[in-house]
Amino acid sequence: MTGTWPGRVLPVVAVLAVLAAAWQAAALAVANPRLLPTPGRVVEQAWAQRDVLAQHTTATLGVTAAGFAVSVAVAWALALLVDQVPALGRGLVPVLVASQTVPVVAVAPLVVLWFGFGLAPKVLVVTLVTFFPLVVGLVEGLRAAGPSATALLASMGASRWQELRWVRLPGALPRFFTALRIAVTYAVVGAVFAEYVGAVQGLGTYMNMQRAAFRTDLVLAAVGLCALVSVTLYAATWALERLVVPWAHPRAVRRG
Amino acid sequence: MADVLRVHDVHVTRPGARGALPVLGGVDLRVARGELVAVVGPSGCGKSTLLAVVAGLLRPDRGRVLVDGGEVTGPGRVALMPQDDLLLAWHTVLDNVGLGLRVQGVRRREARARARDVLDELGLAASADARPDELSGGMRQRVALARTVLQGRDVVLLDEPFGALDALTRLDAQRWLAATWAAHRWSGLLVTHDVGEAVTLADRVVRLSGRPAAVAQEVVVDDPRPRTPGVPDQRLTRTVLAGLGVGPGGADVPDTPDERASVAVPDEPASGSVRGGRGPAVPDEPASGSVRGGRGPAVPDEPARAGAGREGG
Repeated sequence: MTGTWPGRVLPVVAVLAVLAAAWQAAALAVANPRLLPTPGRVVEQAWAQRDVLAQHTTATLGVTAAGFAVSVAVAWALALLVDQVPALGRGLVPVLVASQTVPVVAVAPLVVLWFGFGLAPKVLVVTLVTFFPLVVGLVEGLRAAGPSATALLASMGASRWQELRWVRLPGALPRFFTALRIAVTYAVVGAVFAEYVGAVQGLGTYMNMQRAAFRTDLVLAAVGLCALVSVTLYAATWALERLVVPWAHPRAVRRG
Repeated sequence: MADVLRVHDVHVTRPGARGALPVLGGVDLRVARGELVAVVGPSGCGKSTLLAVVAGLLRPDRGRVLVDGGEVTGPGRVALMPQDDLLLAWHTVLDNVGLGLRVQGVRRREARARARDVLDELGLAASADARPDELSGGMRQRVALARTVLQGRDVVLLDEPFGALDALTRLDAQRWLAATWAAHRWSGLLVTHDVGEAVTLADRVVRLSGRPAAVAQEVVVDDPRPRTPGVPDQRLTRTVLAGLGVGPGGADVPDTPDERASVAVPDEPASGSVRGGRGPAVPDEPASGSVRGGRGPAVPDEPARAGAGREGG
């Protein structure tokens, strides 16, 4: 990252301020808080409901974490399989791509129908919407080392496993983390959607209930919390990436 | 002196777009202990294939490779220094240098100790704890050589070791390699495009013909050491260049007595504009490998390729 701390934060604050001002102006023009509450009212009502909101947010975070963990595990397994058994990869990759064309909107209610209102259907939906970028990032990452690195390791007498361990796995990490950052934002959306379709708690459920009660302000408050959770998780993966693969962000410029 | 490496009548055919393509057509080579033999040849003549065979990565269709009298049937007998340095970005220089030992099953602590020793010997101790991205291109190649020799093999294969360096860095790296090699007397093959580099570094220069490659010429470099990188022995250089179809009678190489730059074997027709002319131009593309422009003779491409391609094939 370049720039100083205020240099990075100020533009974000400015954009948010402009958006909030536009919202405020629109809300005053509409003059109907049930239709479009002002930002101030949303914040105020969110604060009043903070205990309930915190409870639902925790539930959503749990679903997201569980689903994302399963997704990462599945992605590693599939990517290694595709990488190590090329024939299987040729058969599997088209199926994986096709799986992404299935509309989650249509499948999520079925998943709830099949697996009930517990954790399982939500974890499944989160996995469905997040594993694909992870698999693609990992497969490409595992190939990133290239044939000359393979030749070098082979010339040293390395086994396939040694090549994987010494060169290809670490080489795959930068792309894995890029994919992780993209996928983690989908994960929150996936969890909220699964809750929306059918659950007893979580931000998705909460939005559904408040929408039915015409509490637009509380729906928007929940939306804001979703965004906050996504941004936080994104920042967390970013920090994890700096910690695990510091070498992917060179400190010095390579000379001559 | 006994030969530490013998390449005996090696034939390799590789599948091509239009059927089988003979790449090596009976290559014979020998490297005595402590000898550095340079292999030059027209671009695409099969130098890399030859290295792959010697490294045990590719089985020849016919012929044998012997290291220390034992036949090479797979990798692990010789150490390869590839064209790109291929240093692993996630390891320090120390761990990169020790990689070959780790692959051989040496424990990390011992691999590090031995890597530190070899870095000391080669004058690279100050870089031991740096990460590869903190090093210059010239330093990365030196570290790659340290990684290669630490594997403790009988033969070292250098595949265009300085091909990616700019002209000045390249001369510096050659000077360093010459001094280091003189001190350690490893045995090896040096594949290069640069006849000047071959003549200043090697004990013998072997020129391969175009495809299918065979040894077309062998020149013993009797130029006494120390030699000056960048100022190759003109008589030997011309002999090899003439064989490649470049030089008096072959193409337009200026006959000025004070030719100073090393003369590059032309690479790709596309890269072939004559640079620098005869003026004191500074080479402008660091990545373009061989020494161009400068004060010396720029080598025109087309006639050279035509001549080299026909001969001995």
